Amino acid sequence: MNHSSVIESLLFVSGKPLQYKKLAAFLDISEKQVKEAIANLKAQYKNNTHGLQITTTEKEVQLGSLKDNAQQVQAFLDLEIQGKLTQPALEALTVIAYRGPVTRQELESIRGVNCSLILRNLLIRGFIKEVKDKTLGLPVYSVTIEFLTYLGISKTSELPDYTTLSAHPDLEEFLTRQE
Amino acid sequence: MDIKLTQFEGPLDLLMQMIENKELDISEVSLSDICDQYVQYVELHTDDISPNELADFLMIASRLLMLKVRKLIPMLQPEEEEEETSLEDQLKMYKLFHDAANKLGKNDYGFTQSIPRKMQRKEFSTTFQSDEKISLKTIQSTYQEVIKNLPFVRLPEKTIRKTLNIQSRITELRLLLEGMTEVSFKGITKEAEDNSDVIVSFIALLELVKLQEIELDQPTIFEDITISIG
Repeated sequence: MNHSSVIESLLFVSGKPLQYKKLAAFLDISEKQVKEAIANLKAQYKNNTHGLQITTTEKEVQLGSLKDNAQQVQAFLDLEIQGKLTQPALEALTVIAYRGPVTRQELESIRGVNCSLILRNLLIRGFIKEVKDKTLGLPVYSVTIEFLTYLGISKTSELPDYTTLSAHPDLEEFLTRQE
Repeated sequence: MDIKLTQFEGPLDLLMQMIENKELDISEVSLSDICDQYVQYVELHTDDISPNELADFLMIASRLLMLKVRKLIPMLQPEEEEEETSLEDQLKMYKLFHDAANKLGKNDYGFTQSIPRKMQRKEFSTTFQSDEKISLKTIQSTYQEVIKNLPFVRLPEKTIRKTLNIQSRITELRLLLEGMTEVSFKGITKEAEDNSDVIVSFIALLELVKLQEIELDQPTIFEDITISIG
């Protein structure tokens, strides 16, 4: 059985993000196999000239229209233009995208300013999600699939300079000293 | 030199813009040079900065002042080498993310770039299909039930008090006193409706005293008043 093909069909009919866990349970295969199948699918879409793209996070996968066609799709569906992100919101999202899951304290020490209001607004907009970290006992934030599809980025590691910024040596040092 | 800063996102952003405007690199020297300008800016714009963030601006200002002091008086070093992050490092770190945010912002068009398929919606009919259980009779009884339970809106009730007129009370008292030599205050206020009624009677009495028509006598305080014709 070609898992990629089945997953593609399921992604098409569901029209919303699907969890790897659920796909694995449904197809009775391991999560690793699900991820491999999705990686396959992603590669196929990349090499092709199709009008679709796959977006993934740590836990979920979603099929959507190709970002290159965003203008036409938006006009066709007559979707509301939400308005661009403000500079502070974009900056906070950048920190969360590169460093997530991240605590509010870490976000604030990087930005040097109170971020509670921004976090609330981003939660409302659905661009970040809050999960309680059991070991830290604090809420941690990470970006959602909605944020990635909003910018048309297929996964966080495709963010510009992801590897350099997500684990920047200076940053690690800086943050350990902050603690 | 007066630099007009168009827009800043936070205390570190303000600091970064000031340094960039002077075309300086981020270093302890450039930071202590910028100190006065920063402090002045925060002082001038205290009202524009949200109270939420003001503390963070002041924090940076105080760290800048510390840098400047140390530069002016080199002897003045912290007693122990504190393991705290220098403002220089923090600003450099901030700049990394600030620049990344600018890059990321190029993908922001104000609407979702990869749009998921719309959920299929089941069509549902909008025609009215009557329930067999509904008859004219049930409609009637339901309607009556509704009417019965309707909380009627009542206008708030308020008794409008009759205005007490001192002049008419004086006339009343005159009539009462006619043919009597004396009467007690308690006696004339026996039928008073409330305190204000008593007060009106009392004022009327005072008026009559002023007109020298009657005399009042009260042996001790709070005792009954005897009214006699003068």
